[in-house]
Amino acid sequence: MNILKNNLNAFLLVFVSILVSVFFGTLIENFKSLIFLAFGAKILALLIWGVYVIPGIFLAKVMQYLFFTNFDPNLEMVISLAAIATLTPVLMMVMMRISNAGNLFILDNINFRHIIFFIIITAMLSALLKYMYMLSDIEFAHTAAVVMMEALFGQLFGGLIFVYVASKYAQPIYLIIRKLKFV
Amino acid sequence: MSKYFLASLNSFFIVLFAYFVFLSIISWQESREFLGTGRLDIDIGSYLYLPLGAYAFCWVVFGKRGLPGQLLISILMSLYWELDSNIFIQFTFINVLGPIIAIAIFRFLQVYSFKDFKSETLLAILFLCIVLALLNSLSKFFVYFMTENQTTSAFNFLVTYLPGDIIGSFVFIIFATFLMKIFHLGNHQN
Repeated sequence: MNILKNNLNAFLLVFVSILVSVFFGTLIENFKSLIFLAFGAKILALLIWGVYVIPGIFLAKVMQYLFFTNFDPNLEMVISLAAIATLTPVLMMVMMRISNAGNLFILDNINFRHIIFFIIITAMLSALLKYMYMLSDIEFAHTAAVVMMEALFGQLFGGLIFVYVASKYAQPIYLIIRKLKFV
Repeated sequence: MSKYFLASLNSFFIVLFAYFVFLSIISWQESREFLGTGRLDIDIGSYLYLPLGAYAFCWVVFGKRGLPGQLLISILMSLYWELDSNIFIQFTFINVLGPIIAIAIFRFLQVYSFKDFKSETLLAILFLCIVLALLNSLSKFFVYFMTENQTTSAFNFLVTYLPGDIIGSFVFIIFATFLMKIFHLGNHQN
């Protein structure tokens, strides 16, 4: 029951941030904005609720690729891209764990710099894998580098900004909401 | 002054050795038609790009003292490959500065110190190679595909550059660290 609730929370967090990114974003030839907050939301959901929220994140990413893309999506491509987007952070978490670069599975005593490192390498790997997959299917020709650069910097800036703001202001906002008795 | 000169000279020859082995393997592949075409072509790259590991190794071992030597060999190799002038300087800087940025990220974010390869684990070195390869492939991809004269597809470019950088740098660093351990060599940064 708790896992289901966490999945729902993760889905809502990622999906709302996708909507915000799309609303405020510059949809240049692609589905990304230059500050793609959903990337940070995904990272934060994984850090807070653990790897059990993968289905929730996956569902949110599927919705993103189905409804907020400028290319014509087919089901195989949507599922593959959503799987890459969901599993890349998990892969990097596992890799950081086994190489003693930092244990991101347990949020206690975590070094914030390790989270920044995690965001940087995950953004790089995620952008690369997604575009390698897409380049094998869609012909971007000359704009491939531009599209990929937007994706990379969008994820990087979005991830860093979202995680920083959330870690700094989440607790005060939660306390204000509790005082107002919404929760 | 002499320390700078010696470190630069050592860096120059270490990277030159890596290029020599790398080119020998490519020409052997070409003669035997082994593993695809094995052409000496900047568009395609190689599955064993040893020089990337050599640049990273020299930066960790010699520090800033070895930079002039690395820069010189990188410029000479760019001349050898007859790169276009617009990507010539950028590829040279990526070769030299890529490892510096990757190692700086590890040090600044307190993941690994990388003061010495001998004291680091295999997994730490592998992790460094992955980040190095990501930086190198992505930056070369951006530089190369911003120009209009590319002859290969973006997918083919990435699919050879990324694994080639990871495997090549890992093989070189492990080999060099092994030699350092055998001959009891230390760091020359201090």
